[in-house]
Amino acid sequence: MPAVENINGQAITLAVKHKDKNDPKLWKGFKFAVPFDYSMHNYLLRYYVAEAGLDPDTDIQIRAVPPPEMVANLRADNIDGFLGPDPFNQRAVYDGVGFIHILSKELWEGHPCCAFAASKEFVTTMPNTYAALLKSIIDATAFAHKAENRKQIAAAIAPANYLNQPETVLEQILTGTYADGLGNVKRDPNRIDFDPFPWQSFAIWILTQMKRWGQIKGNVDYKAVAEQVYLATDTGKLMKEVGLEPPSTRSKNFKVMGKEFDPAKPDDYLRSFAIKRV
Amino acid sequence: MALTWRAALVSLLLFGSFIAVWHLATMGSGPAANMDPEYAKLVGATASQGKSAMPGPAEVGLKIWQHLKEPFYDRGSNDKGLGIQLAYSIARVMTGYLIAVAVAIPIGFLIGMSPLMSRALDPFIQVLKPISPLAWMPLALYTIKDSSLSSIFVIFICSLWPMLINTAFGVAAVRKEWLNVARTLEVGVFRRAFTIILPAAAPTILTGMRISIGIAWLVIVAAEMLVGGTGIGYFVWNEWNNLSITNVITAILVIGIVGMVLDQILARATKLVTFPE
Repeated sequence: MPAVENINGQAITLAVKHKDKNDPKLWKGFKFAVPFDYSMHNYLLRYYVAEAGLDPDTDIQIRAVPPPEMVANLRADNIDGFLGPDPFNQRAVYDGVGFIHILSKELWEGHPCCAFAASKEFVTTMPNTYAALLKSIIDATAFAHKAENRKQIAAAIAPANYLNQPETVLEQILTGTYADGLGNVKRDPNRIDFDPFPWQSFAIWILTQMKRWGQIKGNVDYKAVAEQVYLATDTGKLMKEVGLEPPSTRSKNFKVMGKEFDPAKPDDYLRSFAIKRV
Repeated sequence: MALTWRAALVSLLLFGSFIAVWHLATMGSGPAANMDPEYAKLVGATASQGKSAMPGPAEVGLKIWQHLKEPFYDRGSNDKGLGIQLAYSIARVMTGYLIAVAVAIPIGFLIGMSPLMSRALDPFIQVLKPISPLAWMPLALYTIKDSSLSSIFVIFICSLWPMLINTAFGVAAVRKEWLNVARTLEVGVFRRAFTIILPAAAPTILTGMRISIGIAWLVIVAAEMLVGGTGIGYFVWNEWNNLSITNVITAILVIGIVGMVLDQILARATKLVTFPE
């Protein structure tokens, strides 16, 4: 996985009928949707409800729903809320079906979300195509990072051939001035951002969470897996070519919901949680 | 008034009352109170004015008109005109259907003419017939590895059974007197099949074909929803994912009309080969 696409850009959206239950402690028995059991969204949702004292396996129900169907499921009352990618959070607000409870950047500022991954076969048998593809993606990421380009991007990706969403929905997400579903207009320019560097500490955090919830068992060599999968060699070089400054280290500390994560001590981090499956 | 005119009038009245009820049901409740005007600009009509999420007949009518004006445009892989999508679907149905005709009618003849083959093939037919064609889809995708060919295979496997069974039945039910005359005249097997049995069984065979085309059109929509890419079924699912209910309703109407046209073509063909007893 040589490049991360967007960072931030997700949110927890609840159905409008839960306007008075804007506190995660009141979410016992709720049904949530995430795009996929192994996606960032599942780990963020589980982390968030665990911090509020709920056990994500017994106190709430989490199911995998494709993101385009999340708004329809919310309207049909199949789910009480979802932690999903934009544009579906903003679309739920636009359609009057849901409200945004919290942005994912408030859980973890700078968390990775979508990523560009390539099979080893592709990288080794078609190295030039791979390099050209990676460079164009990093170039696009650099373009999208700048605030002055955001409105133009919203206009370009709104038509039926691409996202097929109302342009105002995409503008609200990309510029960060948005309606939150409860009658307020909020301003948060970093609601979604773009930074391609695949920090190995991201991989280690995800591995600790996979172990926390029992998705992987046994001893995990965190550093080896992170180094193998999150390949930053080409990314650094290509970032320089498009004018971005690649970082000099591969790992960094960061805070998730106020708690510091040190990638050199993954097992201590895992042990420090009250609710876990291991 | 003649019966046809009276029936047409009742049809129009039913249609008119349906449209009226639809319009009233989707009219919406009026502006929401006390909404900050900046907020109101950022949300859609449903949130700010209580407009119903389900489109009304006027919206659907407008969308149908837009599609009819430009049926064959192509602005990219996800944005093709309705005419192009229908063409893909009809092509797939015709390919699968014609292959099924080529297989079902000869085998139907074999089963109808030979009691031995009829008994021998019966258990296989009885087991394979009730299997939903979409249950074949994963197997087809896994072995054929091509989504278009897989959908054609699924159409083939679902159109096969009604034609096969109707052909076998039609062939077996040919009047004994005619077959006895053929025996008296010492007519060979193939000549008997083509000059006596085929015309006699033709109405039943064509009824089987008419049932099959209905099933094939039904299945292609579902198959394309699963497989994706192009086609009217993919269009329906894509518009659902884009939360464009207006386009979904338009597509449903178009699917119904095309299905009716296909059925009518085969109904005319049946009339051509029917003979008074």
